[in-house]
Amino acid sequence: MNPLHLLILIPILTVIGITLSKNMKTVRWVSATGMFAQLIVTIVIMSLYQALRASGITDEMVFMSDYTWFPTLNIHYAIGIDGISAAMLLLTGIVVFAGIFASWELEYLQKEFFIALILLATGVFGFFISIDLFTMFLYYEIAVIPMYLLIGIWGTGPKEYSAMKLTLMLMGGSALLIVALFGIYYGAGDGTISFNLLELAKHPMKVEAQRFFFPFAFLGFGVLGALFPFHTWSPDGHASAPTAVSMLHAGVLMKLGGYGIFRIAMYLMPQAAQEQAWIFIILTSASVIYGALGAIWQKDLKYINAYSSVSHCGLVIFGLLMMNQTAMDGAILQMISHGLMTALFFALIGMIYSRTHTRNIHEMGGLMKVIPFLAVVYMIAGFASLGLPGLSGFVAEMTIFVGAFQHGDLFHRVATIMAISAIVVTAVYILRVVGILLLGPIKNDHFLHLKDATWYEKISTVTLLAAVVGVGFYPIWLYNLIFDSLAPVAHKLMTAL
Amino acid sequence: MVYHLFAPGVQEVIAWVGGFTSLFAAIIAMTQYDIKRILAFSTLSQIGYMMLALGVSGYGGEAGVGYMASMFHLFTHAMFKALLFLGAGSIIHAVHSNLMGDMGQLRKYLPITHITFLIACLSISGVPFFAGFFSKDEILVAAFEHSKILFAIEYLVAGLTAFYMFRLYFSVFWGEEKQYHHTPHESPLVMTIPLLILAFASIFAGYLPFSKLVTSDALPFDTHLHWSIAIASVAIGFAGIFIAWLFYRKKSDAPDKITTQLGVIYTTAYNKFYIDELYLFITKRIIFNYISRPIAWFDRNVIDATMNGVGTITQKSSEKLKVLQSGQLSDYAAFFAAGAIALVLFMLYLLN
Repeated sequence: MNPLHLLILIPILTVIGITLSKNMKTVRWVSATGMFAQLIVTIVIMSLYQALRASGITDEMVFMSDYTWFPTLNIHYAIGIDGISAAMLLLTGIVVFAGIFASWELEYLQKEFFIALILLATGVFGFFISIDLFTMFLYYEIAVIPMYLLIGIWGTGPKEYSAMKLTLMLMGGSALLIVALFGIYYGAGDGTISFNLLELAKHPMKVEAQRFFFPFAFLGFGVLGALFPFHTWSPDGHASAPTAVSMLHAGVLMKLGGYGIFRIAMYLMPQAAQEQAWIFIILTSASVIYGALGAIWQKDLKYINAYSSVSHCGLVIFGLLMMNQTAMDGAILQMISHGLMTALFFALIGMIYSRTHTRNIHEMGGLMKVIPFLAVVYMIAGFASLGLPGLSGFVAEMTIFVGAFQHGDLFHRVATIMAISAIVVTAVYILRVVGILLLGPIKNDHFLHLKDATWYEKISTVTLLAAVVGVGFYPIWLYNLIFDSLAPVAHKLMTAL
Repeated sequence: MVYHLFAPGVQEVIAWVGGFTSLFAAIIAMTQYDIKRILAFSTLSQIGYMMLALGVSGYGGEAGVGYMASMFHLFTHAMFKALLFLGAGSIIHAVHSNLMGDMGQLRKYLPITHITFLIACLSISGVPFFAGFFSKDEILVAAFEHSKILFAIEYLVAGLTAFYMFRLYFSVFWGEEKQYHHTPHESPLVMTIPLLILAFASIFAGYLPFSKLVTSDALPFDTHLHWSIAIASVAIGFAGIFIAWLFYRKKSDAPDKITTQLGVIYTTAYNKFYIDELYLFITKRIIFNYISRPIAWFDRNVIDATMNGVGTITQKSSEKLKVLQSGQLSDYAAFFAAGAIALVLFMLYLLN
């Protein structure tokens, strides 16, 4: 049996298990077991994938399955993975697993929460394994729609407003996407009418059609990837969302944007991508710096992290737009690195908030003395965010910038230097927050009695931290994995001009 | 090596920045009162030396003496600087204060700290037979061969280094005895043994045949003492030590008189040339207030407002339009009739 089917089956079984659970404890443990099994499956899939590649199989996608769905429209349920998908699946597995443990203390409508969360996860897993574009879009919607419920019901602050804004803006992105999808569907060369990615890649679109539809696809996915100026759903959305939802959303969902740009927009419309890249490079460089500068001024921990995510996700798209294998490899590495890092941040922020009941950094201080475990993990996460070597952020950023610098012309160089300068700004806001929040005097005497991390919080944070450090210290296997899978796309892009 | 082959201009910049740094930091170090701050600026100054040595270096064999000297000085500097800082820690532990103003005549109370600190000061000042002499000599040789101006700067800084280090030494261990809360006592063995180990290293590390070990192209080469430069640098070192001895061995008015005479120059150096203030100004006022806040405002009030605006427009227009759903049958009949007439007219127009 195709192991990829397990990725959909296990969550569905977990959801059924949750529905049948009778009390809060069972709900949690069923979710935890289910997502732990899911994590194991992603690890197994990664190992199987690598074994397959080591034995010399060079197909573009492996573990493929194809079931005809709507024969008249040529829509299939087609799945398969390559190295990049395998890496993203592993990322999702880790983040979802950590997310379940970060939600351990939820008291209100637990069943519904975990069901919605796992449905969201199912959508994400399905997105990464889909080869048929329609199936991909379906899973994309499955991933986005539960966000509305999750934020609107279990969120904090102006949750209804944030939920509505987030969902509507992402729906707007989907609307743009659907236009692009139909353009691709009808516009494939040689009269091919298909949603299948591999088939579409063999029959390239006419350049004129590409020029029209590329912005739709790019912006459609870009909204999800927090591309400036369509990023404003992100600060409010993340700030109002409950912890696990922020983790999943910033950690994984925003990567759907980058992944989609890479898999669909640039792969199927390479000529348009090369021609129009300069417009979007301007937007993404702006995104990177804008997000970082915006983050400096924020006082709410979650807003700081949300703007930070805007900045880092902008860097992902920036790397993709550089269109050489090194930079694109770096972009995918950044997806993974940032996904882990931001999930860790949101988990920690949620844990801090549940203790201090404030997210305003100026009301807190000296937390290192009171909750050392969480504070140290926060510091390490902060260092990862600002690109300290030895942690995953450096690996990704370095690769992107090395790749970006390979373009010798002035425009690319200026854009790269702007993006690099954002690292300094990142260091400013990260260290500022770490200093105000964790070091210095304790501002509020009530905080003297805070308890440090509980066992489930430790599982959550240590999983993510281990991954961040692991990728930071030993990234070469990941780099090679991604590099080999980039070959078809890179080839198309480089021969497009 | 890469720089030398591909970007000699960059190397020049490195050399000059290094020279500037060593001078800049040395001047500031001469004015400070916090012993750790003096040591910190001293470190900056010595690193300036190392950068300068790298900047003037060639590649391969004798030409690579700058690289070798830089690494050599890095090595010896590590020894005596670590000793200085640990010694400072020992002193602070004894008197519970960082400031020179709270210390004096400590040689009576902290014998081991005193001797090891002295050894480190002699080493950093380039007194012969101590480690610093050898490494500093190599750097001065490398500088001399590359640019006389850089050599002159480093020569001056060698003198300043000796001066401020011995200002520190004499003020702490000699000078005027201060009122101590409780009699200072020597630190426990766990602190003094490392001091002794490092003191040993500060003397003997210089005897390592470094040019056989670390060179620019990994091949050993021979170096020898350049007597002219060595004698000159020792001379200015002793001059610095002598002036410090004059001013600080006993309580004296001479330092204060000079600082008042120097006026503004002294104040600027004392305030570390206002670099901290400059940086804080740039980050707090300019970046934080004039860049970051407007961006955050723009994001919330312009971009977000547009998105909210879309929502508001939709809402308002639907409010206006919902009037059409009046529920009154007569209204619906009217629209029906009007629409039918319009269609008929349109068809007639098309057919004609």
